[in-house]
Amino acid sequence: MAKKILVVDDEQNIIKVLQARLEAEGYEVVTASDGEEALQKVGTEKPNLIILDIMMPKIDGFEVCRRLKRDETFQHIPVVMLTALGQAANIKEGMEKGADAYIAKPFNTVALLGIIQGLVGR
Amino acid sequence: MTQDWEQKCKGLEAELAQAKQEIEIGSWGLTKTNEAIKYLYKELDKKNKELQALDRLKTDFINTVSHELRTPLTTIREAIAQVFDGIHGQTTVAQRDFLLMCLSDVDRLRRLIDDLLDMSKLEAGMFKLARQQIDIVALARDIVSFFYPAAKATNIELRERYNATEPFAYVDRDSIVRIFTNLIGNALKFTDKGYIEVSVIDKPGSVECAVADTGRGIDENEIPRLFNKFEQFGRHRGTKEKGTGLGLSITKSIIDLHRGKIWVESALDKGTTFTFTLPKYNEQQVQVEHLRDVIRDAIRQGVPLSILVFSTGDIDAHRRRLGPGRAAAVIRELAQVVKQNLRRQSDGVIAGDAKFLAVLPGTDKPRSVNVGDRMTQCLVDHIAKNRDMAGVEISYTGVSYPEDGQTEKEIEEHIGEF
Repeated sequence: MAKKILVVDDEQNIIKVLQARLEAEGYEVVTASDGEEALQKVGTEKPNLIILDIMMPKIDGFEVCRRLKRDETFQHIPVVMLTALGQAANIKEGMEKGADAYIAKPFNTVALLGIIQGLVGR
Repeated sequence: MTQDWEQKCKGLEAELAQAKQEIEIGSWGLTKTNEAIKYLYKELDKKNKELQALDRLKTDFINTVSHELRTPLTTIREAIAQVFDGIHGQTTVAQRDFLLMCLSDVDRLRRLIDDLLDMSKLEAGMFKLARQQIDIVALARDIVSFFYPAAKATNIELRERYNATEPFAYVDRDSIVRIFTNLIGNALKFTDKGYIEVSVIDKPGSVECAVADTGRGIDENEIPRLFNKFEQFGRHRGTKEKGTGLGLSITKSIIDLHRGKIWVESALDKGTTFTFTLPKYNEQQVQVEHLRDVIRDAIRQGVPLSILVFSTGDIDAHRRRLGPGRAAAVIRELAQVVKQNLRRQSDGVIAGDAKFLAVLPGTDKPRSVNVGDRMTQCLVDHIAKNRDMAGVEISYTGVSYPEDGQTEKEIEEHIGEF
């Protein structure tokens, strides 16, 4: 059965290109445009992996990650944080909030796919 | 006779009265000057704070802009890559050729944004170094091997010369990788034939690295401006890939941050050699370096910093009584007691030869006094439980930025030897 990935980003274009790439690689993709929607969809869709942008309005990626990792039902789902900042401080914060991996924009597609494969397989 | 005296007295009294008046006027003048100076100091302080705020605004602005630039770059790059990979239908050879060109320029844009961001962080003093003891020879070897294919393709010989028995220096790994990569990349760009030699040699107190090439060389008139921003040299002569013009400037700033040196020797058509030094530190020097970094960052960022210098009383007497080894261990132990009782994660301790320090970034002078008193109590309690520490008397002095000093030198002088 295809692995399901939840892509969370407030930029429609990023969602569009990520979805196209991941579907071409054989993953099933569901999306969310902000933190609240993301938390809802984790419950309804039960994804195998979450790609989470950091800079989002209302609830940011760090907060979403923190809440997911605290919840027994969802803490096992690997979270890959996506950011345009890429500073060491952000990476540290991401890891402290429980992110499983971290990649900076513009990301190297091969690297992102590699990370995803490593976390959930194909 | 008495009339003479009386007159003389009256004259002297008049002179005295006048002198008193002049002194009063002079005094009043001094007071006014004093007030004016105090006012000017206040104004200077205000202007300083405004400048720092402006500096932070500039940094925030550049951070935000770079974020805003990277987001559309992501979609552009990924979308082009997907069309190129055939995900959205078949493509012709000609189409792929042009798409590849787009990808290459997108990558160039991304490098420019990265460089701009680094440049702004360096200027704002916000460029963080994560320093450790690194084997520079091993690092250089790794980087040079990465360049083998490129050198082979252009028929340039890559030579390596490593002559260091103690190749460890206290550096930020990513930064040094970047510097070597930048210099070797440049050497490849500007060398048409011959060789490039990367060397790492031992010097007392430092590791000296060099990248030498037999390339086009640099005009001696251009050498003074070499490390400036956005200078591109010999552009008209090369068809190889263009850089951002920031590489050498960033390289120099990073070497400066490490308290190393960098210089160049070159002449037109006679090749170029870039040499840089990286300091070697033993463990205690590492701690002192770390302290200097913390002080520098606080001043650059305009954030308060307090350092508490704890003394144990008569250190010589302790050394005589316990022996120097145990005395040093006592200092380390007391420093640990402080470390365990400090509340903020960013607070740290340094154990010196005769004293120990608590380093409290973000803590202002009034709060540091509270911390100092609390720590003194913890230390006194600890000493009471250890018989061999009887006779150790704890006292501390606080050194704070900005109250006790406005420059790194002043703060370091206040701390003194420890």
